[in-house]
Amino acid sequence: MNDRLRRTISLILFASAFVLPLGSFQINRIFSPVPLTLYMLSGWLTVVLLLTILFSVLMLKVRPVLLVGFEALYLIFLPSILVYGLNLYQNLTGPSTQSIGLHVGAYFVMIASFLQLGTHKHPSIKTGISLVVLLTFFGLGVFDQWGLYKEYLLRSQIFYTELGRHLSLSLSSVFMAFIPAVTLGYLSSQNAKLKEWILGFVNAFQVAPTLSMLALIMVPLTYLSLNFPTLRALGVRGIGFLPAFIVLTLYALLPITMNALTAFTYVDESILESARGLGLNSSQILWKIRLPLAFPYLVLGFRIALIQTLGNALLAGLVGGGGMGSLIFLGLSQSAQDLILLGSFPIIALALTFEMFFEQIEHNLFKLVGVNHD
Amino acid sequence: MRNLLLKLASLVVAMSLFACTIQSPSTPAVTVATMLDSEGSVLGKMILLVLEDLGIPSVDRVNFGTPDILRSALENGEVDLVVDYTGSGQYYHPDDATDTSIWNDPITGYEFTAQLDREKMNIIWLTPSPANNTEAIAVRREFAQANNLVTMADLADYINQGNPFKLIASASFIENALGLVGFEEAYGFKLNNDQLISLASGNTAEMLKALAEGTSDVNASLVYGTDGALDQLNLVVLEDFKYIPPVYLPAPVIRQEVLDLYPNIETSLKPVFESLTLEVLQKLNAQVAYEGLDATEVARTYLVENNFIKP
Repeated sequence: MNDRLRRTISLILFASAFVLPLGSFQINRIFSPVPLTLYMLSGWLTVVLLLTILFSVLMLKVRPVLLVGFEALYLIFLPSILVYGLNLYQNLTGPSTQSIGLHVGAYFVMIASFLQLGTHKHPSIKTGISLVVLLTFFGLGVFDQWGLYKEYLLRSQIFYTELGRHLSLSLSSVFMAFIPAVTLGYLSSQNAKLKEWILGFVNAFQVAPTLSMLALIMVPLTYLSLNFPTLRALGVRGIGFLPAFIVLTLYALLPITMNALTAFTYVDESILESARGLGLNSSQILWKIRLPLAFPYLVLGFRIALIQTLGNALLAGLVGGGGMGSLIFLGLSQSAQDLILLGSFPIIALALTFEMFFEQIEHNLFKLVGVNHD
Repeated sequence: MRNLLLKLASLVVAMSLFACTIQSPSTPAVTVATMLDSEGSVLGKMILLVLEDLGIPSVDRVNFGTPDILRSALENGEVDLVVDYTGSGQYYHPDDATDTSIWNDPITGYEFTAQLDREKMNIIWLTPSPANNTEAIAVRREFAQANNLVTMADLADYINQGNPFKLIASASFIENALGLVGFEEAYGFKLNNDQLISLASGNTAEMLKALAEGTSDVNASLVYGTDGALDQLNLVVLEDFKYIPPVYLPAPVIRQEVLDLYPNIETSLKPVFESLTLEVLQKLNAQVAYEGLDATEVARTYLVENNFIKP
């Protein structure tokens, strides 16, 4: 996405904050939240003031230093109003069952800030300001009445257990899938007949819904577990970690295999030519030429598989495998939206973090092997 | 480069192997697991607290999964102690339960399921709670008052007069001969497809929300007897004086081997579950689902107040 497009989209998203509800007020865990707009939270004067700041930032050609100042003001001002206004609502009256939270407008503003961040020369300044604002609010205890935070406090212990389970399940499945998938990718790049079979095999798993795969795999695993004490002692069970691990591993095959296939297929013929000219045999060519050249693509495949698996692993919550899915499904069963969000946000955050981390690695690797990749 | 790749590969293998050992084989601890709902949280935590009080080591798998997953986990020995409902026996032993009237009586239903599970599965049903968490139909209080609805027979009259009516319920309840079909036959009414909203899952939180807020003109919903939010949401249950749906009493269900190991589990849980009447369970469930309190604290407060465990 180019900067112009980013700016335009973020402008629209920012503008939506004046129309769409920013926060919400919930009388108890079951009733739907009541949406609260910026006007309801702060009054007209603030709306006008914020609009003025927004347009000065986005429309006027101000010097970069000034721009940062304006943005900083905006980043402190808008969240303050949101937090202050919401807490005011919370403190009005009522039983302990009520809570406050963010609504669609606030999420749009977050996305807008994230997009804007991409156009910055120094994104760390903005990130820093946002973090300081957030932590200050946190320190002042203004989040105590927020639905999301209340849900977190109730389960602060199991939250980290389940997060750990989710991470170890996702990571171990993708690691497990990595070497077989790369091998499959390599084999299919060597033999057209084999390629058909292999691609059919890895595609088959993607087509079947994850949940039905889980249900299918439980049957043979349960059988093995009940009839072979050795396997049972090794932890083979029809329920819990293992079925989720197997299914997620199978699902992680496709992205890695496809990327490996691409990488091994499109190797510059002249490089291979010169390698043969130097007298390297085919195994040497594989280890010294093909694999290093393919490596950035393999990392790319790994990243796609990992992001996909982080999402799919939620279903482990249904089969006793734990993870954030168990929070989300409990939230669904109690119709508690904040609990659902509590289960979802960490996954989004993890996915974004891994995404950025691996993108950086890939970028460096592609530079290293001299491929122009964008 | 080759060395680096080899190192990377061995690292990957090592990590995968490590990942496989995370779920290591069982210990003598008792694994307590329950369903993914508020009642599962409260009863599960209660059992854990009682075990802790007895000094029995336990593993907390409260909110383990869906009912069918939970049952097969118990049958496989993946978990040791669960909370189940007496009427579920009809699904576990469908071939033996030829006479469906068994399930409408609390005592025979419990004894029948307990006997089959003991003989066929080596699974023991401990003393159940007297609270019937059965299926019923609820409406908003002002709607009931405006239309003089107290029992299911009143509702049948109301529907047969052609008044606007829309019921939200789970697909399994709608199709079940001991569910909506049974109600229709017993009280003499018939709902057409336009009067029904069918949900795939059986969890009632969404249904109660739709009923309380009147979403999509819903004015009646499937509810469960021990649901705590009914009172707070201003909903009333229509009396089913013909007892159509099966009786579902929550009971601790344990594997024989584990009970043999810790026989005092049976005697310690008995008074606790006997004390859990409909009103008590409704109150405890409401504290978790509706007020959003911590299930462990709700369970602990109840057990301590009633002298079941040491504070």
